[in-house]
Amino acid sequence: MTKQKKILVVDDEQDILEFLQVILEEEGYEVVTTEKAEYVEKLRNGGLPNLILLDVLLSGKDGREIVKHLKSQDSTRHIPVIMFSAHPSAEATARSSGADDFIPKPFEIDLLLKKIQSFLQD
Amino acid sequence: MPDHPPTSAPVFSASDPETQKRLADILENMSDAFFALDNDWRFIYLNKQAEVLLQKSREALLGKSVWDEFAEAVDSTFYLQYHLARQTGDAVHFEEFYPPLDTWFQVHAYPNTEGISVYFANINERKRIEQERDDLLRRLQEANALLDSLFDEAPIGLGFWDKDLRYARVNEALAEINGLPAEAHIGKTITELLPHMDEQVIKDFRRVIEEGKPILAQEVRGQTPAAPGKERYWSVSYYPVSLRGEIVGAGAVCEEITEKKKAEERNAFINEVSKILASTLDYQETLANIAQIVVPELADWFTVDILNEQGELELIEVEHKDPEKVRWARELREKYPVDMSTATGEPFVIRTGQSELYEEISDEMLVAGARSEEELAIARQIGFTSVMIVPLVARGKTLGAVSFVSAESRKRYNKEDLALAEELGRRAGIAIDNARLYREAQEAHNQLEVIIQGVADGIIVYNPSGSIIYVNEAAAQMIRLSPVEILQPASSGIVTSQFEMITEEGEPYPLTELPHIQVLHGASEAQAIIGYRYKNNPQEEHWSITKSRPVYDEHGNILLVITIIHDITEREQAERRKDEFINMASHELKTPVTSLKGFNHVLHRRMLKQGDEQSLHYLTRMDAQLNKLTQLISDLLDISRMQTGKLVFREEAFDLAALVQETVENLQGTTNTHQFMIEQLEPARVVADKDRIGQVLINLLTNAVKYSPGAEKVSIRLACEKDYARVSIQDFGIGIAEAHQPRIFERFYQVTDPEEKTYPGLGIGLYIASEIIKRHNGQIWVESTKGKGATFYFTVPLKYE
Repeated sequence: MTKQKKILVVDDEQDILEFLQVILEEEGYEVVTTEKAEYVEKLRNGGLPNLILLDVLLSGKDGREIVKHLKSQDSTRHIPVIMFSAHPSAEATARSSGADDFIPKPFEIDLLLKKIQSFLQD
Repeated sequence: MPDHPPTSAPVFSASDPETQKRLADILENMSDAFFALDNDWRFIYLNKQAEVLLQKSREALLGKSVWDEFAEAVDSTFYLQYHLARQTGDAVHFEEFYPPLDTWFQVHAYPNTEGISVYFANINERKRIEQERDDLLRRLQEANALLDSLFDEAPIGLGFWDKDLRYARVNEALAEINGLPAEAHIGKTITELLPHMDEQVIKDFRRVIEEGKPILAQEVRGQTPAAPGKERYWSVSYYPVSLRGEIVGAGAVCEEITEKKKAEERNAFINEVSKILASTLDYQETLANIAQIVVPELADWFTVDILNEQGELELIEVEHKDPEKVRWARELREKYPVDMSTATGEPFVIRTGQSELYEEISDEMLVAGARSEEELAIARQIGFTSVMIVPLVARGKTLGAVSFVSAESRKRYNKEDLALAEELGRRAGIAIDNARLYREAQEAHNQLEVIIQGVADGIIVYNPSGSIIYVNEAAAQMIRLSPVEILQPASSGIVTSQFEMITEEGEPYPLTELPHIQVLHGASEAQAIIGYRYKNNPQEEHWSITKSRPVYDEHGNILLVITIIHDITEREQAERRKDEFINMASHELKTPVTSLKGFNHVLHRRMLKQGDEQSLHYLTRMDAQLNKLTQLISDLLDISRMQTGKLVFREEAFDLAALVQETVENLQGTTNTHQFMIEQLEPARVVADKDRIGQVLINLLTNAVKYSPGAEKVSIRLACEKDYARVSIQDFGIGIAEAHQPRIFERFYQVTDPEEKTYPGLGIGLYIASEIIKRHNGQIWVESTKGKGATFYFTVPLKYE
């Protein structure tokens, strides 16, 4: 058994964080969730995640800025980022900001799991 | 001595031989020739000189008749004279030419009882000299006569004055100019003869005599008895006349230039008239100005009548030097309108376009023309002397008539005056016509201008080079400049410098895509939605639908481009608010759905572990409903964006077959009643928005299931034609009545049939599908028979690499 993969989930909806935590942990991932953009602290304290799920529009901070930042740092550039949003035209901007993939809300959990799997395959 | 012939007849006496011999010697040696004839005209003697002159010897002549030997002389002067001498017994003396000898003879013939003695000499030399003298004299006389003739018959005035400036000689022309016979001039001074002549003439004569130098071409003005009271003009050149080196007087050449002068004055007059006519387009003012120069120069009264629309004469100008009389004339005209049926006068001129000239108006004419005693009295009061009436003509049409009346000035009009008046009429006619046309154009223009200015939309007109040549008030307000500022020649760029133009996406609007530029580049019409951010107030944003159209000339070249700017700021703002609201609403709706679906999934897993089949079933149905809800939210958002043309497509190249397969597989899970059967699937590379084409497939597949409740399968086919891929989705359900078929792709259209079961929905799925396919340059349609299912088709253009 390989080392457990860590997924960071960033969304300002507590409900979404909660069910994703449950589902992803059941799938065998280590899950760290955060409501706000203080993900940086989380990264430092708990080590870098293997994948990040990130909402495009976070209250107070634009998810796209976060992707840009992540993709500009040598230490985090390699981490795949899947963005999601309920906003109709978010996909294009998400991708242009550097997101590796996008899934519109509301999403099919199976589809999301498929995408995560494809990124985390050894 | 030949020059002194003997005065009496010589005496021959045969009885005295001595004497005879002596005589013979004398005769022999005489320088004159001599011969003697007997009564029968026979030579009885001739001397040596005679032999020489007659060119015959004595032997040949003696005893022979002179008329035999010189037959040509018979009946000549010689013959007649000799016979005369013989008959009368008197000596004859004559000179005569004898052609056979080519000699002029001077002859003295003395008759005697025995015959006749003739002394003669050759006078050829003398005759030649005499001839030459005569010729010379004759030529001199001829020359003199020629000079006299030259002088007398010269068509310009010539004269010679002595040092006291008395007329010494004048030619006919000068005599005529002065109006006196030539002889009457001689010995008189200039002042005596021509008291009204310019004093300058005398001064110039004096100077010429004093200085001995000519003075050329001096203009002289004055009157002569030839035409009392008439001012005339001459051009006079003066020159000194000398005889043997001494100045004896002065000559003058005098040419009348009155006509030329008058013509010059007429030209100056016409020029002045033309200047006035051209100075303004207000013809009433123009005519008043002309009247000012016509009166009193050319006429005492000047009137202009124009034919109005009712065919009546309207007096629009009357001028006299006395304003009181002008008023009086106007009142008269009110009282006595011109009868247009009159055979003469203005009605005639207007009818025929021909001028009338009455050199002299007699009282009889006034009597004949007056319609009443009162009119006659008035006509007499005016004191008509001479009248000209000329037509006012423009573009071949007679607009009216101009009258020139000479009254108190007693001026008599002639043909030249008439020509001048006609010229004035022509020019005034054109000016009036121009003024009328201008006024009509102005009125039409003003009317149009009022309309255009009143339009709420901005109107800008460009010329073919793209410069603004017209803006209405609304456009100027949008540009935030005055029309004057916009229209100034150096305005290029001033308009676009007022604001930043943006597209609906917020990008800078490319200047080459502006509608009027597109039209200038050949588009037959161009339209754009343009946003304006004013530079002096960046917070303020305006929006317009701007439409441009060209106007062509008869050759199809662009004459101008008309651009209409319709302000849609409010609409646009409302639209934006709506978009923002829908965006927000869909976001807000989708977020709880996301959570619902998430927790549903969590629950689903729990139930699966617990093996609670019933709950699992409910959860699956819940999820299906949640998906429907999601689709509804998306459709509502799409339809709102389609309406405003803001649905954005993200095109990419992909294999349509793969998409069909994937979509069919995904949807198979949502139904356990129907089987999706892919009957045909050809690889089809297209460039399109994959998600949107997927949306169309989902829509058609879910419809197929929805409208075939009793059926078990849906057939799917993908086939490639030459240029496009065609997808068909066939169900075996209720079908669509033919009447509904054309309308099912309309927005909010729903098939309602009271006999049928109602199928719920918003009626927007097919509309969205059709819009998506149309935007991909594809086609969508249905083939169906009611009760026998339906086949929906759509095409997408193939992409060849």
